[in-house]
Amino acid sequence: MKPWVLKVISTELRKILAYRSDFWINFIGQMLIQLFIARALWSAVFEANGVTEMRGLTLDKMTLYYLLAPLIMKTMMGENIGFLAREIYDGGINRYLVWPLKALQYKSLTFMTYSIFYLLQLNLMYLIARFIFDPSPYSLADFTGALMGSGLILLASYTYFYIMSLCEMVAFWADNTWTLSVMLRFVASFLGGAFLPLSFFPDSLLPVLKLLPFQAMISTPVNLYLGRADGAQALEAALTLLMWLPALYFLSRLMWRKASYHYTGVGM
Amino acid sequence: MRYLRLYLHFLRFSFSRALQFRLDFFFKIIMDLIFYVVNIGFYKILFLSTPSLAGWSESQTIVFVSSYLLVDALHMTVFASNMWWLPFYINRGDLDSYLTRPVSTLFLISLREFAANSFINLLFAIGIFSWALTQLDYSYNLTDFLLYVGLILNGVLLHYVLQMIFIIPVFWTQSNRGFNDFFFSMGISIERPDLIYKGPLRWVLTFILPFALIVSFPARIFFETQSESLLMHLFGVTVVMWVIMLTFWRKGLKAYSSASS
Repeated sequence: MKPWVLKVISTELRKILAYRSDFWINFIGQMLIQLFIARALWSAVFEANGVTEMRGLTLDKMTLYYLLAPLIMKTMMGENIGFLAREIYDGGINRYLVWPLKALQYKSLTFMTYSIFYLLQLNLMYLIARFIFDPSPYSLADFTGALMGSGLILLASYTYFYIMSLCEMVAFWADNTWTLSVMLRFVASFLGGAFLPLSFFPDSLLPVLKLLPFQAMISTPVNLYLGRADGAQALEAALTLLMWLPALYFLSRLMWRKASYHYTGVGM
Repeated sequence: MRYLRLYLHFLRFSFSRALQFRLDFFFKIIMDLIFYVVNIGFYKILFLSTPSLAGWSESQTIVFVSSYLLVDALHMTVFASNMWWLPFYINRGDLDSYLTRPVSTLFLISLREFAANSFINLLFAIGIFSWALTQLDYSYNLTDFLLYVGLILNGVLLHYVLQMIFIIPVFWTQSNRGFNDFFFSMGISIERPDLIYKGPLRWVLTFILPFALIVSFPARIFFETQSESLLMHLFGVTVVMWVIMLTFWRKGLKAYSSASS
């Protein structure tokens, strides 16, 4: 491990925890709101159908789904929108051009620090919520599901970093790019199953969704935590991400190289 | 009249600024259109698995969703950019320049930026709403329609007031991110029909943090018998929230200490 890696991680962690009131309001508030609203919505749907289970999900499991999906989204999205574009606009990337390290490598590390931190939060919440919504004793399957889910989320986060970098790097040419990252978030959330479990989508759409990286990023990790997906599905999701990753990596490198020639310091 | 003239100047500046950054202008329109597709897609897919939602049919729910898109587009057009910048003005001390101008500071900081791109999206939202109305099997008259327009405008006002209530704590907390994210999370409750909320949650979302009133109550005009209690509830809550916001704003201004605030 390079000597600066731990220093970067520790600096980023200090930034995350700098505003503690914000941090806790954000974390607990958002989670409870999502939970209550999802529970209310699905209670109405279950009631309208007069059933206790839909597509293999009971109301409690559905609630757990809507607790996990936003937390997984947050983990996967790591550092917030603008993590690269902001530095392109204000000339902050000058330092990466003179530092003896690669800019994208450095930014991926700061991005992943956020992801790792949020992953710890996610697992803590899962342990508590799993007990509330499913009071049966914890089993080995719970832990293997969480472990596979966590691994897949980290891979998803690393893949998402490169997709988001492509959007952020448009800042070299355009005046505002946060809209691209927000578009990406909408599309990833919807097609990844964060808004609705993918089992509710029409069957004709499912083969297409499987080819995109979003299902492997959100739906499969949630299902692994819920015990609705097994090791084979985790492997299939990981392979989908690994198929996308090299293409996204090289595209980002190529775009960065082209942009570096175009870059003129402050005032982009 | 003076304020109207001033607002027309704001409009002119906003349109000329928006057209200077054409790619950005275009990106923002596309972003909102994706948001619209996702919202309608959500309910369209949900209704593949359920005949109704809290007593509403698919066509009723789509009228509700398109009403939400209208409120959102109006809010984005008139208030959203201003709300985005307000915490920065307070933190950096930029509010000073607004406080010294000979017009209401609240008027200036709330309405100065008009989002021209969102105005285009407002036209799309009106189109979606018109389409949704044609799918509805209920008859309505001009009075219903005018009442609906009034209630939607009330919804936009209530949305603005609630957002201000979540922004104003920045006068004391330095960073607004937690409250801001909390507000946007609460925003999901606007996107769902109010009838799904039961018990204490319903009480919170229709009285304490009345997000559920913003769109659901106006939409109900088209397929429920008009109830005076519903209208009084909506207007009563809006007035109370407005008074709370103004009191809170004045207290915030007293606590403001320029750049170090």
